[in-house]
Amino acid sequence: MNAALDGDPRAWADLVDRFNPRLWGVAWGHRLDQAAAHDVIQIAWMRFLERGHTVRDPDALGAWLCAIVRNEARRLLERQQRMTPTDTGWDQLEDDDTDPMAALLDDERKVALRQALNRLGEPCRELIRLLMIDPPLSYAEIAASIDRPVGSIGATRQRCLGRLRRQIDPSMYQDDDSEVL
Amino acid sequence: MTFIDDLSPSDNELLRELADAVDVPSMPDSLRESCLGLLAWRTVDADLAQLLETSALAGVRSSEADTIVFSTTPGPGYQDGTTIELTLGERLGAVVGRISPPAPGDIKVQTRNGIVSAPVDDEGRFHIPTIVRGAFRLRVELTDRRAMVTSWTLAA
Repeated sequence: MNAALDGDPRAWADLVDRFNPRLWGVAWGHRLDQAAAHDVIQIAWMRFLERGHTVRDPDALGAWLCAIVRNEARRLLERQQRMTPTDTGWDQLEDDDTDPMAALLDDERKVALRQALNRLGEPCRELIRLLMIDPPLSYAEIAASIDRPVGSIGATRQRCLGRLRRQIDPSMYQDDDSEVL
Repeated sequence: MTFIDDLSPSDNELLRELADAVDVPSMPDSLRESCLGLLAWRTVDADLAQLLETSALAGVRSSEADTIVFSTTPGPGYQDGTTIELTLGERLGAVVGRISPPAPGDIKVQTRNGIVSAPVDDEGRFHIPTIVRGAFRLRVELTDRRAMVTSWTLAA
């Protein structure tokens, strides 16, 4: 990490290759389109070059970068909403439910899964999206991405997966879902 | 394929099914290239005062939604309390704004495409004839010896 900060191109390439897939996933998790995701990830790396020396623990770098992606994504979203107040806003974009042809062609199960995800409220929907990222994020990275304590992630994950299952097949569950995250 | 160690096999299976059903866009190659290129932008600006974007804190006075405010980080020295308020006016084709407290000098806006500079007048006003998209930062040097650089910020 320090080699990269000192300008070593190979160390830099290693870092970029190691974290970009995750950062791409986190940007997607925050509902950014591809161009915005590209910009936000650039900002994260630029900030790293500016202030990376303040990251004492290389193991914490992933979470540090995820937090920047989270903050910049939110800032971008806020500014977009200010500029076009009549739009529904990015956080209401639905995952590919807008393409009726896709809905016809895909099997029922896929449509059901997408709809179940869309019906999940936040922050569960965002968390589930983050869990779909390959390679998987660490607890610290997830925590940084959704701005919650690391210790709560395990339980939150289970709760959100449970809610997702209930959305997919409400008939399977009799109990009343009155939990508040 | 995603596999999370401390989740049950059925949870992992569900996530995998979901990832199949939802279109998770793959990372474009161009991202790697542009990130690798960032290394060339390392500059040693430690001696310059840093301005942080403070639009939320400063309270955006203008009705223009694309106004951004930068303020100096708190600390001792004559650079305390410098604010740059600017509008990224795509319709104007320019970045316009004002520095306070005012002093004449020079302002540069740096983006992926390069650097454009413009003078700052006696009243701290500037008009940089360029459209900014994506990431940018500003560098200001004034005749009263204030010199500052902003963090990399995203134009909306």
